[in-house]
Parts: sequence; C-alpha cells; structure tokens
Amino acid sequence: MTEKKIKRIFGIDLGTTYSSIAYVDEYGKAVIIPNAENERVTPSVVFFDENTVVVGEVAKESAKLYPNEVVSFIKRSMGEPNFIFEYGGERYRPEEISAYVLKKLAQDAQQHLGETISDVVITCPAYFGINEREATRKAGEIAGFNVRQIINEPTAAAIAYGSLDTTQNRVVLVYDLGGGTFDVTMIDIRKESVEVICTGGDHNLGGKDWDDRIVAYLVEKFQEETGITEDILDDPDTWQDLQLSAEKAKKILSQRPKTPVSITHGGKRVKLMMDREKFEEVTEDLLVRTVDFTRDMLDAAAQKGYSRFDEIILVGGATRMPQVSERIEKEFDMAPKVFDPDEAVAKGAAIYGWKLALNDDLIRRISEKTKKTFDSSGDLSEMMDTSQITTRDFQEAARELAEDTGYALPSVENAMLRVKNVTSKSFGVVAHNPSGEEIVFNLVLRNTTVPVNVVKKFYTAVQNQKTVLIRTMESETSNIEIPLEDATEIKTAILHLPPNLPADLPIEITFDLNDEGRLHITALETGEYRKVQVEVDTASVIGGEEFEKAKQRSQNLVVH
Amino acid sequence: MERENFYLLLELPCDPPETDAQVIEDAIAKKQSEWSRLRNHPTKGLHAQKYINLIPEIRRVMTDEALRAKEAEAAREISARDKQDKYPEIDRHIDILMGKGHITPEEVHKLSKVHGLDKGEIQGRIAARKNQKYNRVDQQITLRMAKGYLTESEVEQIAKRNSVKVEEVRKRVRCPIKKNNGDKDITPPRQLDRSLEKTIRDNLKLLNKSSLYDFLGLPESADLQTLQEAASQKKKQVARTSKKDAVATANNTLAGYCMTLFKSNETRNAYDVSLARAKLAELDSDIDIAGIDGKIRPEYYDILIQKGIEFGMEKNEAEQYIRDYCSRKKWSIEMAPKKRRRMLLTAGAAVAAVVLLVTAGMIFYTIQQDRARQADFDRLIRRVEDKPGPSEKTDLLEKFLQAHAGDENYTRFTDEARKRIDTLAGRAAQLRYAETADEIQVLEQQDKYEQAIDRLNRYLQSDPPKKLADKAKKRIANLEDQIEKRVFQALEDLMISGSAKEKMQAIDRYLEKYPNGDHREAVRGMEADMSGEYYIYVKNALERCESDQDWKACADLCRDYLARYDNSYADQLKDRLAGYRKKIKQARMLAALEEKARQHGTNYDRAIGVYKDFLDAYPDSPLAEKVKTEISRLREKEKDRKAESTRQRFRSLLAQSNDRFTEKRPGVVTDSRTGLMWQLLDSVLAGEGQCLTYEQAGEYVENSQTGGYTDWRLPTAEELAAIYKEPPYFPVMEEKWYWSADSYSSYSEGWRQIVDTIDNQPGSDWRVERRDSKQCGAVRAVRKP
Repeated sequence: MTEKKIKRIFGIDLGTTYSSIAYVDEYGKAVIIPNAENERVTPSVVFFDENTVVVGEVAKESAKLYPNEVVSFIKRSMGEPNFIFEYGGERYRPEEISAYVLKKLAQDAQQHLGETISDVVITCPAYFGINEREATRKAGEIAGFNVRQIINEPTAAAIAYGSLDTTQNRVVLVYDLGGGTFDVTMIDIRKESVEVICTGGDHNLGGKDWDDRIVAYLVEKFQEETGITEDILDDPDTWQDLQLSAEKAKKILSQRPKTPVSITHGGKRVKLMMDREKFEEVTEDLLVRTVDFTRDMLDAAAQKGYSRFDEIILVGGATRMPQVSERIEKEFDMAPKVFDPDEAVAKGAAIYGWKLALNDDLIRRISEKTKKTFDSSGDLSEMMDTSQITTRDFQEAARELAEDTGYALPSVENAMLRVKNVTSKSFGVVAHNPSGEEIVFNLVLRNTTVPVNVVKKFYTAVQNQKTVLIRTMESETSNIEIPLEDATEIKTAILHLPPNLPADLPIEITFDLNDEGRLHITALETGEYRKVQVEVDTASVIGGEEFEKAKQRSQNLVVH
Repeated sequence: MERENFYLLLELPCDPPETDAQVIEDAIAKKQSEWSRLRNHPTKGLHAQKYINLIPEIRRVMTDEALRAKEAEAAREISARDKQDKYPEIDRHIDILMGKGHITPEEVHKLSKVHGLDKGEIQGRIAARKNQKYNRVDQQITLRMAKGYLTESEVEQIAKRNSVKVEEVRKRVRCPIKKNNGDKDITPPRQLDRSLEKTIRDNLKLLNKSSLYDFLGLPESADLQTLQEAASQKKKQVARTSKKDAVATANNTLAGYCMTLFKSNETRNAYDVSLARAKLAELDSDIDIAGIDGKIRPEYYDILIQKGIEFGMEKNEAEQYIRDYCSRKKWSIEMAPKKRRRMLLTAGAAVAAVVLLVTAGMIFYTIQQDRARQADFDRLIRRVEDKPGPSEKTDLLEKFLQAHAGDENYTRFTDEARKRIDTLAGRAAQLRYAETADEIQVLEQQDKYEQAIDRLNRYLQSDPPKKLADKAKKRIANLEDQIEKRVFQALEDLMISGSAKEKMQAIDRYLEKYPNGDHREAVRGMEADMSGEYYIYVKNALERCESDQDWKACADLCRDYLARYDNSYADQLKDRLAGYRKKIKQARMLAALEEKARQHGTNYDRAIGVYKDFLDAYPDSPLAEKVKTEISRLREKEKDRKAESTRQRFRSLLAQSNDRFTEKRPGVVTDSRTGLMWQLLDSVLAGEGQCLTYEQAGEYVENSQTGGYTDWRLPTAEELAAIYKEPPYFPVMEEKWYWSADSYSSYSEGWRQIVDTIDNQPGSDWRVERRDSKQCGAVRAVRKP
C-alpha cells in the first residue's frame, strides 16, 4: 500500500544575523514558515536566561540589558576550535549555540504546521571550508535533526530563482552579501540542472561590518561631543546598545537619506543626524572589496570557459543597501536584480529538500513495482543513466505520485534536477618537495566540481610500519604546490596499518569530497588489499563525548 | 611579527613569575571566555579573534617549564621597556608644567597617577629634563600638514630652520601649498572620517604597522600609481593565504582601504592629513595634562599655544583649537588679567629656642694621698722600668707584692703591681705571637694558607695564654675560610668554563670537604642551578654508556642524578634507571646463555639449539632480539661454510670451460677471450639468496670489494651476452637473469626506470629483456683489469 503523503524535508537558512525555515506546500510552492512571534525571519541570537534559552527577537532585545548572557554572530565562529561561550559554569561551543537557533526555528514551525520536523537541508556560505561545513552539520545533529544535506547558499538561491522559470538556460552571477559573509558565485541554470561554475568570497565580510563602521563612527562622535576620551565600547551595555542602533540606522539609511541616532553612555546622551553620504563614506572600502572579489571570481570563471553571464542577482539582506546595486551596475554595466534577499536561500533549500523527498519516494515506488532493491537515497537520474531504471518505470511512478499527492506532474518530473557544485577551497596534504622542505601538495583545486575523489599512493617507509600520519590542508590558491604557511590545517588523519606490512608497500588513500564538500578519507593497503582504519582528528569541530553531551543537553532544553 | 607576551596577555605576575599550573590554566580559561565574548565586538573583535587563535600556542608555552621561564623573562623585559617608552610623554608633560618655573607636589602626585609611576621616578625625570633641550624640529612638515595645507612661508621657514633647500621641502609636501594665508584658491582637502581613521589605526596596530604606507612597504613619498599597484598586489597576496585568522582579516581590510584611499590624489591627501592629525593627538594629551584640575592656568595656556604653533598651527588657530578642546571638556581657561602675584606668607615657624642645659656637676674629690707610699711605689716602678727583661721586671714586682700582702693601705699599689705583672706576662706571649703573626703574614701574602695553619698549630703547642690561643685559633679558622673561599672561587671560575662533569665533581669535592663552609648555600645553589645542565650531561653520558652497553655505568649515572635532584628530569631518569636494571639482569642472563653455547664449539647447530630453546621458552623476552642476532651470527658462520662449498662447485665447473674462464684470484674469474674480470659468485649466491632491485644492484657493485678490487661495476648487456651466449659458457648453477648497466627513463604516472636484462641460459638465440627497475634480480659484477 502506497502512502499518500511524502515525507517532508525542510530547508533552513542558518544565517549570521537572521535565520529562517521553509518548506514546499501541497501546491509545489516554497513558503517561509513564520516563527511564534509571527516573523518570517528569526534573529540568530541566543540569550541564556538562567535555566532557559531564548532565541530570536527577544534575545536580541535582551542584549542591551544582559550583554554577557547573549551570543550573536555565532556563525562567524563556526569551525573555530577555541571559541567558547561560558555561562553558568558551562562551556558551549559554536555548534551547540547554532543548534539552539535551529531548534527554535523547528519548534515554531512544528507548532505552526502541527507536524514534527525530522529531516532538514541546511545551507552554508559557498565559501565555508571543510571544517565549517562539518560544524554546520553537527549543529543540526545536536538540534536533533536528520541532516539530509548541507548545500551552498548561492546554490539554494539559484534553485529558488531557477524554479520561477525553467524554460530558459542562463548563466547567473549570484552576489550574496549576508549578515556576516560574502559569496559571489557563477551558476549555470538549465532546465535539468543547476551547475556551479566558480565561487569566491570572504568569510568575514558582511552586513555586520557595515554596522561596525557605524558603531565606530558613533563612538567617535560621542567622544567629540562630550569630551570623554575613554573607550565607551568597553562597557558591554553600551556596546550592545550601539550595535543595535547601528543596525537600525543602516536599515533606515537604506530607505531614507538620513536618520537620527542617539547614543547614551554613563549618564550622557548625544543625539545626532547621520546621513547616507557619511554612511557610504565610512563603508566604501568594504564595497570595493566585494567588487574586487567578484572580479577575481570572474577571472577564474573565464579560465573555465565562462567569459560572460546573463544576469546578476543580489541575495542576502545587506544587498538592500542602495549603494550595492548602484555600485554593481556601475562596475559591471548591468542592472542587477534584487531577488527575495531574505528568503531566497531558505526557499531554495526547501525546494532542494522537496526534490530529495520526491526522489526517495519515486525510488520506493519503482522498487515496489519492479521488485528490485535500490539504494533508497540514490540519485534517480544516475540510475536512469546507468539503466538500472527504465524511463517507463520512472514515468509511471511519477504519474502515480502526482496523482496520489496532487502535485503537478512536471514538477514531480523535476525531481530529476541535478545540482552540481564546486569546492570553494583547494584541498591538499602536507608533503616534502625534492629539497626536503614541507609543502602543501594540492590534490583538489578550488572550483573543481564535486563530488570528486582522488586516490593517492603513500609508501610505507619501514617494515612493519604501524601508522601513517596525513595532515590535510585547505587553501585559496589554484597552484598544485604551495608553501605550508599559505594553507590552514583542517584535519589530521592517522592510518592504523595492519601488522607486518613490508617496507615500500603502496597504501592507497582515497580522499572523497562529497557533494556537500565534506571530506572522507579511506585507505587500502595493497599487499592483501585490506582496509586500513582511519582515525580523523576533528579538534576544530565538536565531537566525541563533547558532542554527545551537547546533544543530551539540547534534548533536555526548551528553547523560547 | 612579534607576538604578544603570554604572561602579560594573561595578566599573570611575571616578577616573580606565576608557575602554578592550575592558576595558569584558570587564567587561560578566563581569557578564552572573555575573548570569545569579544569575538564580535565592533572594534575589539579582531584582536579577540587573534587571541582566541593563539590559545593552543599559549597553552603549549605556558605548560612547558623552560618555555614558560623564557616567557616570564621576556615579560619582565617588556615591562621595563614600556616604562622607557613612557618617558618622552612624561617629559613633555613635565615641560608644560615647568613652564611656570616650578612643579608643585600636587602636580608630581598627579603625574605619577597619570603615568602609573612612583613619585621618586617622576622627580628624577624632572631633574633630568631641566638640562635637556627639547628637540622640536622633527617631523615639522608632517605636523604642519595637519591643517590641510602649508603656506609658502612655512615651507621657507622649515627649510631655513633645518638648513635644506626649499625645493627639497616642497618635494616632500603632499598637500597644497598656499601662496599666503589670504589665498582662497585652495580649499583644504576633505578630511577622512575619524571613525575610519580609528579603524585603520586599529588594524595597523594589529599588524604592527605605523601607516598604510608602511603596510604596503613604500615610502610616504611614493607616487600614486606605485601605491595603487602595490595595493592591488597586496590584495592578491593576502587572498592567496587561506588563513581565517585576525591577521588575514586585518590585511584584507587594510588592502581594501589602500585600494580606496590611494585611488585619487584627493583621497590620498585626506589620508595624509589624517596621518598628520594623529600626531596632533599629542597636543590633546598635553591639554589633558594642563587641565588636570579642571581648568587651564594662564601660564599653561601660553605654553599650549606655543605647542600648537610648533605643531604647525597659526597662533589664532592654536587658540581656537585649545578653546574648542577645552569647551568640549567643559574646562575653563583662566586668562591672565594682570600680573597677579600671590604672596604666600609662609610663616616659618622659627623654633629658635635653643635650650642649653648646663648642668653644674658637683665634683667632690678627696685626695688623701699618702705621699710616702706613693713615693715608695714610684721608686719601685722606676726600678722595674730600668730592668731589661720582662722576667726580671716581674720578679721585682712579685717581691713587692709579697712584702705588702694583706696591707690594706697598699691595696691600690698591689693591685697596680699585679696588673703590671699580668701585662708583662701577656707581653711576652704577645711577642711570641707577634713573631708568628709576621711569618704568617708573609705566608698569607704568598697564598700559602696551609703552611700558615701548620705554623699556627705549632704556636698553639707552645701553650700560649688563652686569649692568644683563641686569637691563633681564630686566625686558623680565618685561614681555613680563606682556603674555603679560594676553593669556592675556583669553583665559581669553573662554573663559567668547566664541563658539567667537572663542575659537579668540584661541587661534590667542596661539599665533602666543607660540609659547613660559608659558601655551602651558594654551592648548593650552584648544584640546584645545574639541574638542567647536569641532566644534559647525564643524558649524553647515558648515550655513550648505552652505546657501550655499559648498563651499570648508566644506572650509576641515573642514581647519581636522582640523589641530587627531584624534578621532572629525575622522573624521566627513574624510568630509565628501571630500564637499565632490567638490562643488567638481561645481560647476566645472556652471558650465561653464551657460555652454554660456547661449550658446543664449532657445532653451530647445537649452539643455535641452545638459543632456540631459550626463545621457545621465553618468546617475549626482551633478550629475544639479541638472541636472534646471535642465532643469525651463527647462521652466518654456517653460511660461510656453505658459500665455500658453492665456490668449490663453481671451480669444478670452470674447469670445463676449456681454459676460457680461470680463477686467478680467489673469487675473481678472468675471461681469457675478452680480458674482463668477473665475480665468481653473483649477488644472489653471495648474499643470502636475496634478490636486488636496480637501485640496490647499483649499491651492491659500488660496495663490492671482491679480490681486493673496488672498481666493480654493472656489465653492459653485450658483456653479459658475451659470457652467457657465446660458448664455452660461463658456468650456471641455477636459472636467473642479471641487471645490465643499460637503463632508460619512461614516464608513466611519474618517472619510471627501465633496465635491460639478460638471462643466464646458454644458447646463441637470445634477446635483451626490459624490466622495471623496481623488480628484483641478480648482479654479476665485472671489471676491466
């Protein structure tokens, strides 16, 4: 008996400043689920209030009163092993704090829809490296989700954009300026696929930097007016207050030419007018940087044979600032389209999740029909390419599914959509060059399409060697060999070799970068072709006992 | 780039340094939490991020005893240097306050509070300033640029003051130059927003750079195009490193600023002016000091104006600047209305009451002198004085005593006589002592302390009066101290130049000889200080005795160290000592086994049996390796015997080659047809039946010394074919193939080497077979006589 409904997979945009959750409704349309406060986006701010955790607008407002109990911008610290937030004697890592944001989104959505949320697709900046992605997945797991996939924000935006009109093939430049990160990505949108060509950006450039510039300006003004020379930002209350004022000022200045701002500190109050001209003056260099990154990315794309693009779309809340569109138009001689800046990413993730769900369901149906077993999360188009499934079986299953669920047949058939991604960073291992110096030998260069796997042979140095140590490194260059200091160590993998291997025996190591950009390492000794146990040190990402503890803690916790 | 000092960063005391592991760990955890909170602070976030990333390094350094000690030392140095760095600012402030002619104690107090120094130090500084001339011509151009332009006359003035050409000054001025002050054509450049200035400054500070020019590594006079190129270059360079840390972010930010600010002359000027304005901040700090009590005194005001002018302002500009500044601070400026002279009537409480207490003492003296008795005694004394020797003088006095014993009227005189007797006895002994002392002085001058002691001991045997005996004993003790001191000094010298072993031996000698010596503590200190050095010595010595396998010596070394120290090194040595003890035990066991094996003489199989029995019984024994070596040594002997028999077989086969191949030297076969010399045994027969890769084959011929020749080489394919493919053939005992000298490179998944090989099967139908150099084959080495 075939179930009528298919399992829902939700899309979550876990942002630096705001997060949101979306799903695809019974008409095949992606919709945002508002939170309990009836807002479509939820501030990614966590407030530890004694025994409860509060997330969202209330938490954000509390920052003024309880600056030391509130955590904001946690996404910027994802994958940073040494970031610790301490509250009430407990220590929290970024993954766990992010998990609370995810929990809040899910909890409110469950209430709204009256159904439990288990499977999700979470987005992250294209520019995230291997560790940051792993951390994002862990955050989802701590929140208690089955994380089906981590996809890139620009890709999600492109999916949402592409889903509006699937008839036309086009190359789109996605300029994604979010709250904390900046990504620029070139994407080839076709009827049957969404393919990322090239990506670039800066992990530490986002709307918050514009806010920070306003904060610095306000501090300066305050000192000028009052003659106070101390750094008023040393006071956490003032800092949080100014941070909020700055964000508001930025938003208003995106609409109007000027805004009044008041600064209060130590019993003194200064009121002033800030105009758009001043705002643009103190932030111009930030904008210049985004343009520069865009040009670099275009150069890289040209090397891959993409020398032109049809459209520029702007996503991310910070692209609402009028100077962004103006500058882009001036620089690239093309009017950009501002596309649903706050919601496109979550919606795209939801559509992607829906396609995964349809895919699962179709496979289940075909499997029942043909009495064959398939990998339940396999890729339909791949299965058809390799003739495991006939086109007829597929069409029949799709028709049945459309009938059972009421979805339009063409959109069901769209479950075949292929998403191709590239890695945003080069990835390699530490090796020795002929003169014996340690260098990084890149195995996968950035902007390579994923999934990709590279097999590399290492030779045992001595007889009965017990272990092999592999230091994996991430970098931004497209050179094969780069100096050690230009790369960041992401993981150390230790291979535990079986006993009694001879010297000089090749060990085949496979580095798998999956389509999420997550890294798996497997190894095989070539004497008797036994599998080698690989232990990966993931100090940068929460793991082991700490992870279990965080999961436990999260389960027992109610988020408000 | 110099990194922060961890003691200072963690705010731990460095003098004396905090070493408690728990306290340090707590400090790290505290800071980690604090920095994490500041991670997204609008202005402090970058620094916080940098510190967060430093945490693993902090932990590494602060948990390592040696590194931590170094860190503490550096912290002390930095603290001292910081104090130094403060001086110029303090000096400037002193100059201002001294403008009125003197500095009041309150001002000293305030200065000491502002600069965090004690008053004594401030006072010292004040004294130093009085004699020092203030150097004010430096950076005049830059300072004058602060107002956005320079006047022609200023340019000339600077040129004149510094004795340089006007053109030279003009070249360096990076802002408009007005003909005169009335010139309205040039508007001063737009100023950079102060918040931008601050962000730039903060980021520069993080990278230890002074300006964007410094950041790009270019002089301030560089032209715009060069700056633009450098900025874009910098951006590319920054983008190449993937680090996500604060330094990378600061680099990114600054590169962004360079691209923006060095785009046009106008924006660049704005930045230059802002740079100059940063210098004006010094003036601000001067005003702050002058307004230390909420108002500006007239004397200070004049000085501040003077300062302003020195900073490149016109007089009225300076007045305006100071007035604005003070009004922002809500400070009043006291103008000098008239010469207001405050006469401070310090009524010096002149306490001139000198009380002379003249105490009139009442002196009663009753002189009841019996002139006769006195005269009698006086006569005696004269006689005594006439006598030459002390014994005769004593005799006279003794007689006087006997004569007047018990006579109360004479008490005064008998007492006097007795005193004189004592003095005389003392004098004699003293004389002897003086003689001795003279000798001793000479000996002492010659550093012959030991002989001096001998001499004093002899003196003591002469039974001198107690007082002198004590004196002599004291002298001996003194001399002993000298000797001890000399030994100690030698020890001190040795501490500088000696080896660890010598030092330790000297320390031991000292402590043995002078268990209560004055420098005992110092020497113990030396010993304690040597814990590290001596450990290194012990470790090196251990390496030697380990390589000699002298486990007892090793164990003794460890015990010696353990007897002296109880530290982390000692802990390490404890473990090693345990190891040596085991080794000693094992060595005894092995010796017993060897003795047993030796009894079997040349019957190697029986001897091997002894060892094998042991291995069967104790397969996991630590001796197993040694036993195995012994077994393989015996097997080697067995093998030699077998190789000899192989050689014999070869020789018999050679005899069938119709005299083509003859063994002229042991192991070397000469081919009479070609004249080449070949090794009788190939690498497989000679080397335990093992085959060789091509690389190993090369090493094999390189190291081969058969027949005393060292020029063995790999044969060419033709040479090999000549002996195996042309009858009469070289004898063959088993089928195999041989490496030739002919090799090629081939590219396939990296470089590969291919080598020609020839098999040893007799027959004229043959061809070269190419094999990969990693394969395993045999070598028959050849040489040309």
